[in-house]
Amino acid sequence: MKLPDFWTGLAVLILGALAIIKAQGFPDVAGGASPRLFPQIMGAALMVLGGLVSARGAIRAGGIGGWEQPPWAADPLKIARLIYVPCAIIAFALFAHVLGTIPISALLIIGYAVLWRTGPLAALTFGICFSVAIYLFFTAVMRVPLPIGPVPLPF
Amino acid sequence: MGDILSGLLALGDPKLLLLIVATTLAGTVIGVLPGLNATTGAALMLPFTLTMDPISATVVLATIYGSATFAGAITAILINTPGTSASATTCLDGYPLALRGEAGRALGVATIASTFGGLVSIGFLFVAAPLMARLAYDFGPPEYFALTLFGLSMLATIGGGSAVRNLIAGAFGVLLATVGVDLLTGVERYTFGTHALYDGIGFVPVMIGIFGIAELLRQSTQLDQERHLVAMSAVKLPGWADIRRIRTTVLRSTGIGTFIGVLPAEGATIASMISYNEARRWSPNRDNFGNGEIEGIAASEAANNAAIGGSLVPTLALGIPGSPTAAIILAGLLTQGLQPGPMLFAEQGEFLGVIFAALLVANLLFIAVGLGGAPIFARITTIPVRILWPLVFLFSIVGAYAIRQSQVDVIIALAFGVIGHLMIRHGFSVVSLAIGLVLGAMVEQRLGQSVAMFRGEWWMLFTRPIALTFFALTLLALFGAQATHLIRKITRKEIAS
Repeated sequence: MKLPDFWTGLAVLILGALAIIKAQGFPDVAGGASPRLFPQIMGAALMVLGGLVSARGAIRAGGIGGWEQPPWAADPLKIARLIYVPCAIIAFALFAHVLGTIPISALLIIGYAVLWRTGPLAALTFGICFSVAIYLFFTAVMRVPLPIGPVPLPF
Repeated sequence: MGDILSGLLALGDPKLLLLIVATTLAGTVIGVLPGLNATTGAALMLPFTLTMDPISATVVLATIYGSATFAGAITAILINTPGTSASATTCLDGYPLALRGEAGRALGVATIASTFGGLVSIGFLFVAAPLMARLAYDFGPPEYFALTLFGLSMLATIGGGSAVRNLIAGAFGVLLATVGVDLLTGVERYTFGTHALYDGIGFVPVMIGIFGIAELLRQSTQLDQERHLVAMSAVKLPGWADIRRIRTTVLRSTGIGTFIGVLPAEGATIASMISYNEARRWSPNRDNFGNGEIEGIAASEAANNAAIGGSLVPTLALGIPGSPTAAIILAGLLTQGLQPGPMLFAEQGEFLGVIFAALLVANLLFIAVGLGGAPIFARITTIPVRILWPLVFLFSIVGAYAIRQSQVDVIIALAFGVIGHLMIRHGFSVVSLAIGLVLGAMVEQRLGQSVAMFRGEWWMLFTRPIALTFFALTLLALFGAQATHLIRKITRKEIAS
């Protein structure tokens, strides 16, 4: 889904305005640059540049323009793949501590692989192998602790 | 000279040597995989560098940068798909040569030109970075503010996209840099009461988000592509006739690449494009360009590798990234608590020597990889996407989590993945966002220090000659093209009347 330039510019303009409005609440500190100064400058820059994009977009399209539907939007599999990525990341953030890194990673990889048309057995193999390999790489090589979960690991 | 020796001696440490070899191979794999490039690779490697000492971390990122840029040529020649955008012009002549059964010759030319460009540029890095840093000894906060502002203004020219959209992305990045407790005043800004945002938005989850997760989202909507390798015999070093034919082009392109690399925010892609055009303009074989001319391959590859050393000069000496990947390296340095500039060389004496030695080894390894391993690495591109992307997916999530073992970082990476994806779809540069974020805190801090230094009389900024020069350059970067266009228009009207 692609928004017309008019709306894109307007979104940037609103973002700049919100940044300025929020900055009004920052207290002033004596004897230095105000903590409001820079956010206000950047907010104003976003407003001006966003306004420019919006105006140019409206002029070029002869109005606010219509939504642009990309070709993949008609393919349910591609939409499922697109939605799966953020959902899986949220699932990792929520359940890594509860289930452990390897089980949650394996589940997510299996789901991902199936969406990429991998057979169930191959997906299961990828899921287990990739999760164990990445877990070992992070914990043993890079010495970064990752959640183990309720089941103790044999390694 | 002593620094080079100490750098080379540091390579006696088998761990460091192994790290360089491993990251050169990893960078090569990243470079040959379409969809991943040096910037994405460096962003994905950032979490791993956090557990390393600063020198090893910089060596890893710089080696990934060099090897991924070099490896882009392999797929450009063998499957007509540039592994990185910096090798896009290599396709134009590399693939036609490969189709004629001369893939080995094309890869040999690319290897020699890349290695030459890379070696000359790291020599330049070693000489120029300390000199530039020495110049910066005289810089106070006003000069640094003006310089950083100039670096930000160069975002307008990134990647040939719309200047307005690039500036919007840059301004958004700078605005994001204001999130957290302001270091100068202690005021909390845009944290919305979230403790995790008190220290600001971390560079690493943002980089993983806008480069790694955004690419995952983009790939989700792509067609399942099949790639076919061109049949090839062994890779050959170019003969004397070929070397004579490309030597001037390689020298010119190395110069162009190094120079473009030094310019803030410009990188290997622009260097290779300009060099290719210049090579075509000056070549007696210009009509053969696009049909398998080895000068075209040499121009593109010498320039994109030369841009690496060049781009690290302002990055290490001034803290102004010379390219998108250099911005990631800068983010890595800052995350490690290092402040690029004169003090970096003063406090970390062996720093530059080790970087120099590491890049030297990496460039020599390119010869082995290019001549011996190209067919093997090219086969990596035939790995089905259903295997590749789940791996990148898991790497991104676990990498984001591993930074501070924090779920918030995973969510931040996701949020920026979605933002990055939407930005790319709407023509905004995520590279500008990254550079804005990295330079944002610096530019604000230096403005604050300058204002305090002049006791609130900010217009005193314009009384400092060096700062004034950078302000003039900033105006030129922002409005130079429009001014030239306007002058031409007026002149044409006058002539017509």
